[in-house]
Amino acid sequence: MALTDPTGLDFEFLGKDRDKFVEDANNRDKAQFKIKLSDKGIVEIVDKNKVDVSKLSKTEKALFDAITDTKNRAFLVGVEAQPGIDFGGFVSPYLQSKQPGVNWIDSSDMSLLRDADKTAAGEVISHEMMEAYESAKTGSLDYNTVHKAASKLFPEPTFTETNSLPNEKGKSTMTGYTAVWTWTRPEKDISVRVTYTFVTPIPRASITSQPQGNMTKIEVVKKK
Amino acid sequence: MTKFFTILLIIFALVISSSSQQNSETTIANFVAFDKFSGLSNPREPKQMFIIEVQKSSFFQAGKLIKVVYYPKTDGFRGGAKFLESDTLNYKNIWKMKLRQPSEEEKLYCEFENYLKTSDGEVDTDEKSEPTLKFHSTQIDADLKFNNLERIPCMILDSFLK
Repeated sequence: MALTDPTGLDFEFLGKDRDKFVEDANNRDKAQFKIKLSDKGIVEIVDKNKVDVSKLSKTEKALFDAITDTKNRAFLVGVEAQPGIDFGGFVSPYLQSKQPGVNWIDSSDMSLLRDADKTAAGEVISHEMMEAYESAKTGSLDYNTVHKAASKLFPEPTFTETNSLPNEKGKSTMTGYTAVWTWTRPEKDISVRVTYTFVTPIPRASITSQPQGNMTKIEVVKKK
Repeated sequence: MTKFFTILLIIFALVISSSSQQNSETTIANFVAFDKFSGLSNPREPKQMFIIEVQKSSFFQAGKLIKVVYYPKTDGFRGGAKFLESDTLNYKNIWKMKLRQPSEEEKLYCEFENYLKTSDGEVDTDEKSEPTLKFHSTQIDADLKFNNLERIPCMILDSFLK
């Protein structure tokens, strides 16, 4: 799959639910400007001339600069549920893309997250945008490098409370599990419990690698 | 005033020097047990949890057990993490480990538990109705339970060499 840059503009959203990803980005925490998609799927800043760049936070300025950087093109591509992707993935082994600047968004995961908490969905899409941009800008295909750069602006949530499913006590196989993702914020953290369903049930005694699975339920966790 | 700044600079240099010495400290140790369920960690930032036994260290007594968190390389996809495998983890292997203190954020990952729990907070059980232990021995094919797990010190394993 080849993604070319026909316009010289900077971010392009493609594939399933691309319009919803725009809404997600606009719901990011402490957003200081909004974005919209052109008919061709190019990201544009709403009322760009009214945005006072000098008053943007460090994070917002980085996102603004990425969107208005005409030298580098990054892509977000919405795809159907992928058992290897948790929310977003970088340089997909599924589509055998080795082009820098392309992140793949699991639209099914995002739909569940959006329904649970819109701000969390905004943080995820913003993270994926900056990951793709970092790759486009530097040409890097190293996930760890671009993920770290994106995390400085839109931090990776913590991942805790990895638990088995209550109705599978005493069984020799597991069909899934749950985990809690938490976006840490100064005022109030956002925590969601994600239920995963494995593609194939796995023996409880031999979880030697990361089992492929889809997110099938996301609910907000109210923490004290 | 100049003298004050000179003293300040010396203190600063000493702190930097002491900090870098601590960062470069090597602990000689071997793996005692690994968390069987590390594969269920976040594929975007996977983690693997171990218990190690110190053989030689400037900070810990020989024989001391330490909880260790390790970040395997990954491509961010499920199945993409390069978890340490049994041939590496075998108790017979002695490693020179670069360990460091966890950051404030990382302390969250130092909360090890002996048992797998269900999402409603109960202890999970296997098909023999036995509680599901999380840690597996690197010496024998058996699961292990550690007493006072919460009191065992926790470090981050940055790298290791033979």
